[in-house]
Amino acid sequence: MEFKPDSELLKKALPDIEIIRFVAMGGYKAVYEAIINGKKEALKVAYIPREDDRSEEVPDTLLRIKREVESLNQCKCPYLVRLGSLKPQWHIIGFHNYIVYSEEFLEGKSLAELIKSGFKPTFDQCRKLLLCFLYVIKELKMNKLIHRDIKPANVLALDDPDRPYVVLDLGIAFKLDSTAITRDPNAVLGTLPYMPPETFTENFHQQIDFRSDLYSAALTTYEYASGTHPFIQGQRSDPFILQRILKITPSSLYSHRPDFPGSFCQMIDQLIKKIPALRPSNIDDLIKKLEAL
Amino acid sequence: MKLYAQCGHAPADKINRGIELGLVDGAILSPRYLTPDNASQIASELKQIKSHIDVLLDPEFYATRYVGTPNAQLRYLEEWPYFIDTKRTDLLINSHLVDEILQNSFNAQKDIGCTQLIAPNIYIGNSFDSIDAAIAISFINKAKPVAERMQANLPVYATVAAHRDAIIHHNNFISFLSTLTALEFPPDGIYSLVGGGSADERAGTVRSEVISPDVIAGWMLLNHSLSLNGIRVINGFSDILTPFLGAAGGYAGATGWWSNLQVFSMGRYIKGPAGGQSPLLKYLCLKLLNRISVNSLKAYIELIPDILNSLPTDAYYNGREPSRTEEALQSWEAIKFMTDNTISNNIGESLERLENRIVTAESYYRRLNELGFSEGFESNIEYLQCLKDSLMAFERLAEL
Repeated sequence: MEFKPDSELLKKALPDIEIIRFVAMGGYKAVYEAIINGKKEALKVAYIPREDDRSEEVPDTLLRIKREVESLNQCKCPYLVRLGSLKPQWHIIGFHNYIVYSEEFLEGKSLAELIKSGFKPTFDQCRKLLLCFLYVIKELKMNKLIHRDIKPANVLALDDPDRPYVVLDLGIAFKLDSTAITRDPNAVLGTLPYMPPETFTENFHQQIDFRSDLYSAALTTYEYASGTHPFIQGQRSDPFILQRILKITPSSLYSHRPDFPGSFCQMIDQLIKKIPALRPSNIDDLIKKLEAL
Repeated sequence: MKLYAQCGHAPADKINRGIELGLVDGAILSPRYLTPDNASQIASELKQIKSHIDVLLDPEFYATRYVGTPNAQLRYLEEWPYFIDTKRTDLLINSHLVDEILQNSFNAQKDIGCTQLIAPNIYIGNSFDSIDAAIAISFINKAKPVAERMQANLPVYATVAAHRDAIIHHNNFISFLSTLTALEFPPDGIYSLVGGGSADERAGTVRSEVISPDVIAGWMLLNHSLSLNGIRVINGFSDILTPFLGAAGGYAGATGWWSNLQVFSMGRYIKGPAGGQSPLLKYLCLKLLNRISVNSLKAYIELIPDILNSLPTDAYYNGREPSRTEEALQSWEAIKFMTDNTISNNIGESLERLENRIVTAESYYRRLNELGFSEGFESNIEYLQCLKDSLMAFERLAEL
């Protein structure tokens, strides 16, 4: 994120909010742990780039936040982060424009942190993770949304049996049957190692649907379970990763976790197929199968 | 996997006997050869033989493109109320028209007592990136809602009828499959037809244009992809390819007694040159994965007795010429046996079994060649190589 606000200026601009600590920073947002209306929440501070004064266009970032907030308002799935009490507000902090709003504060580690620490999840933890993903994707699908950025860094593992995993960040969610936010029609958004092959095709807007999220969710589960990402393999260069996404068939999850049921590994293997038509798309059926395992 | 009798001209007692002997699980009737009254009578007769058999009717709506063509051979099709020539543009822009055709066709099928409904559709010619494909998707997406609105309470199979050239353009075909597997209102199943015709109408499956690795692999991919998504596939005119399609996830296959019931071709609706001999009686030899003439069978048995399938219907060929009905029964029994003994729940295992069968067939052809039966040796080996290549192409497409 460009122009992370100075913490003193931020506190001054938000006198009713007690900022406890800086937590993380994404593409255009900084996240803080804060007390808002007497409750601990995640304060989101998004930088809004200044547009050319003559331009009548609304900045992309502003539209994205609007979509994220609208989407989170629409979706009621418990495995998706909830909005907090602070509605989006416009602030000028220093010389820059920001939108400030809040989400619930969740105590937990991201899957990215857990994978990095070498944590080896049990089968039941992986099964629950995939179940949480499926419920989230089902809810998003009902609302004609595609998350587009499901990855270990956007999933928190909580110590809560009712909400073992929560998916964060609808910042680049794609709304079907709606006007695209990004002005460049060729711009592909997402995090490369978790992007499905169809996002790299011509007219990708026509190609993507909820099965793109199923792919990213299964890939995240694969990485969480196995501790390895099939397309990174120690190399971090984009062309290398892209080539592997498009061409390489990952080894079966079962080869990494022979202690897992074969049917679970097969489900993951099938959901990360390159052709969307080869990914099982009946979410209710997948949930039923997972619940029976 | 189920096997159905693909019905056509001169059924005589073939279907009845096939059902009685448990060689077929039902029949796909053809309105081209039946008036609505006759179809109703046959459906009722078949259900009397076995109450739980499947009776379906392929509406053959795709043949409406030949209405008014001077050399068309539509026979009774024009007596069916849904079989009305409709302009493509009207089908594209008028969704009520599509509803009406679906409804009329479903009503006709319900009236004759079908146990499942097959939705009409048009034929996709050269490409899945076409107006025809767009119209076809409209029929498929509307099939289930129309049946529900009519309270039909029967499983609905939407037709996908495509020319082999459309299948081999894999990018467009895969894009079509992606649409098909994410429909808002998916049907219970798909009735799939792959058209190719044959070099000679009497030549049968083995020499047809459908026998090409890209076509077979594409057809298998359709079965695989839809089965992964909980959609059943009934493969019309699948004949000897039935076990291949079943290994990929297909729900049913079908074949009939004449060669034009063993391979689908739009050419069947156009009058060909008149005359010609009646087709030779054949034996479907599983060891060779091919149909051979009765004379060839006699000669081969002398030298290689185990070339027979060792199935009960072999008796029809023992020291005599079988009847046309017996020929059909032998064909169904062979395909059913091969299907039942090839398909397992594990796709890798099924494909391996198929490959083993092809290798076995090659070894039999080589033995015959060594024994002096060299006629057609090269083309038969080429055909088997094509089947082998089809399995490899399918594995690649299905990312196995």
